[in-house]
Formats: sequence, C-alpha cells, structure tokens
Amino acid sequence: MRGKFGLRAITALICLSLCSMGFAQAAQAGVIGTHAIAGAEQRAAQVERLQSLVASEDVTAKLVVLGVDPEWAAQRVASLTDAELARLNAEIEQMPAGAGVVTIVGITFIVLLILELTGVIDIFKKI
Amino acid sequence: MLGPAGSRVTPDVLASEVYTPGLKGSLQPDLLGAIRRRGLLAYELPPTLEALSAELAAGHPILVLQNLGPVSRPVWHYAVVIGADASTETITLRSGREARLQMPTRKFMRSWDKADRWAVVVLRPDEVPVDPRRERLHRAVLGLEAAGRPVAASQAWSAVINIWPDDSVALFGLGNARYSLGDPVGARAAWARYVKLNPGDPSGINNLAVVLGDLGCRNLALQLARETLDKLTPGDDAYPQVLDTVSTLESQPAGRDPGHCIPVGTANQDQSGRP
Repeated sequence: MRGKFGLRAITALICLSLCSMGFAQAAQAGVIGTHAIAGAEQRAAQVERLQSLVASEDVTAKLVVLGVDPEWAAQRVASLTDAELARLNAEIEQMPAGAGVVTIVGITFIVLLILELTGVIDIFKKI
Repeated sequence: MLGPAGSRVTPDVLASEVYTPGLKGSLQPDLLGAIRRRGLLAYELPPTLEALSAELAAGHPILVLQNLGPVSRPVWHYAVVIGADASTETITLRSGREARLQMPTRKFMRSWDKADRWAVVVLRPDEVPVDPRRERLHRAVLGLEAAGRPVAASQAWSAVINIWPDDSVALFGLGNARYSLGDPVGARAAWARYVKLNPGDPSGINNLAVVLGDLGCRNLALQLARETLDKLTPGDDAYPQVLDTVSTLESQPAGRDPGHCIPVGTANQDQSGRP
C-alpha cells in the first residue's frame, strides 16, 4: 500500500516535467511522427502510442523508485521508442540488468563499456 | 568512430544515464538510449553467430548480454565481442576487467542463448549493418528520432534509402528529420515522394500539407488536406491531425500560391527525395 502511494506521489512530481515536454512537442507542428506509419499495422502503432504516454510516466516513476535521479529517469525514458517503453513498463521488474555489483563487476565496467562502444575509448587499441 | 556528443562525456554522467541502483545493473533499453543520445545507431543484430561474425569482420565491436548462471538463477553480464575465430572455435570478449577473454564458442553460445541472444552493434548514423534487415534497421533509426537526434536520424534514413530507394518508412522519417531541422524544402521532397508511393495514406498527405503551408502554398495544401479529410471518419487514427491541419491552413491569409507550388506527381524528384 505504502509503496503504491509513494509511486503515485512520484508520478505526480514527474508529470510536471513530462507534461511540459509533451506541450513542446505538440507545439512544434501538426506533423505526424514516423512511429505512426512504421508499424506493420497503423492501428497497432496508434494504440501503442496511447499506451506509451501512460508508460512513459510509469517507467519514469519506477526508475526513480529504483534509485535513478528523477531528471535522468525522464531523460532515459525520452530516448526510447514507444514499443520499447511499453515493453519496459510491462517487464521492468523481470528484465535482466547485467553486471550486478555483487555478482560480477559493476558500474565501472558498464561505464567503460559504453565509453568504448561510443568511441570515446578506442576499443581495439587496448587489446 | 568518435560520436559527435561522445567526446565530452564523464564517467559520472554516464553512470547516471545507464546505472539503476535498485537493480544493481543496467537495463538493456537504457544502454540503447545512451548510445542514441550520442547520435550513434544502436542496431539489434539477428540472433545468429553468423551475424556477429559478419559485423566483426567489418570491424564493428558488438555489445552482448550473457547469462553466466543457470536459467533458474541468472547472473546477467554485459560484454563486448571483439573477435570470433571459426578455426579454433573461440570467441574473444572484453569482459569485466579482462581486456581479452578467450572463451570456447560453445560456452559463449550457451551463455548467450540464456540471454535470448541479445546483441547490439554500434554504428555511425551514415553506416549500415553488413547484412541489413529492413525492420531492424527501421527500429534502430526510430530510436534516434525518439532520442531527439534529427541530424543523425536524417543521415540514417538517407542510408536506408540508399539501400531501398522506395522505402516508405525511411522517406516519411527523412521528412520528419528534415522538418525538425528547419529544412522545409527537403522535408517536402521526401514527403512528396512518400505520398506518390502511398497515395491513400492520410498521414503522408497531412505532413505534406503542413510543410506546403509553411512554404506559402496555402491553397494547394488546403486542397490536399480537405480532400483527405473528406475520405476520413472521426474514428480514423489520422482524423484529429488532418482536421487540425485543415483549420490551421484555413486561418492563414488567402491569396494566390507562388509558382513553386506544384501538385504531387508533377515535380521532379530524384532518389534521395531532393527536388
């Protein structure tokens, strides 16, 4: 019960930032985003879109509960497609999160790995 | 392979981007997001060793998820595949603190199987995978659009069009990327080509009408949008947007369209969607 209330409160807080983002997008123009036509069925894409509006708030709140900085949680959510958001929202508790601190290495490794992959560190030079 | 935004990142910032304390790890979508925010393409590979080998041969390192524990008690682990040798049946990984971990291919395959064979190759936005699969590539580029990286998205959609000149999703996406970059002429060219290929799709006509309106072609735009609206019912997905476009255009001052306002199908367009 308490957990759920906590989640709601955080959802409300995060809505402030997300809602303003939504307005900014809508105000940009009356053009339709590519996601609407990219699905095999447009109907499915539209339904997904509606779900994703809900999902983006839910996922952001869930990430915050999991210790992610609220601003960054919103940023992370904003970088996902509708389909990814919907899946994350449904499965966030069950989804694998690689390289746990206890199990193998941890944060330093994940950070290094992304730095390498995005070319900040030359991955082949280190071999 | 230096990313446009990637050069100034600090480990602290990156940790905030990808690390989830409550899970003591990183979620797959958060890794995809971190790659996209640097303007790079995160392409999820088909789940085969052949696909991995082909990308490695092209010099592209691959991010993989492994499960090093039993199925019942998973130990999730990210690693980067940097080599695959078919003759010795070994896979080389950057894994944890190991700069060069050799693993028998069979053992690697077991750990990769238990993680649903998740693999991502990181590419520059103007690059494409060695053996591109259309829907996978669409998903990768849609990710750039979602992350708000229109410059990269525009390059990536153009690369898709280079492979499949009549790719409707890419033409539509190229229009959106150019439009958000303040290139209405380029957006019009891409959308006009999309509409030519998909004359019955109200989404394409809506976007074309919006940009034609921006370019001063109010009458032509209004004609297109009204014709489309007439064919729709309020229950259709595109209805609210097209209705909005019609009313926006109606509120613009009427007058004669300039000479460059030519209907779709009569304009000269090349393969890139440029007029």
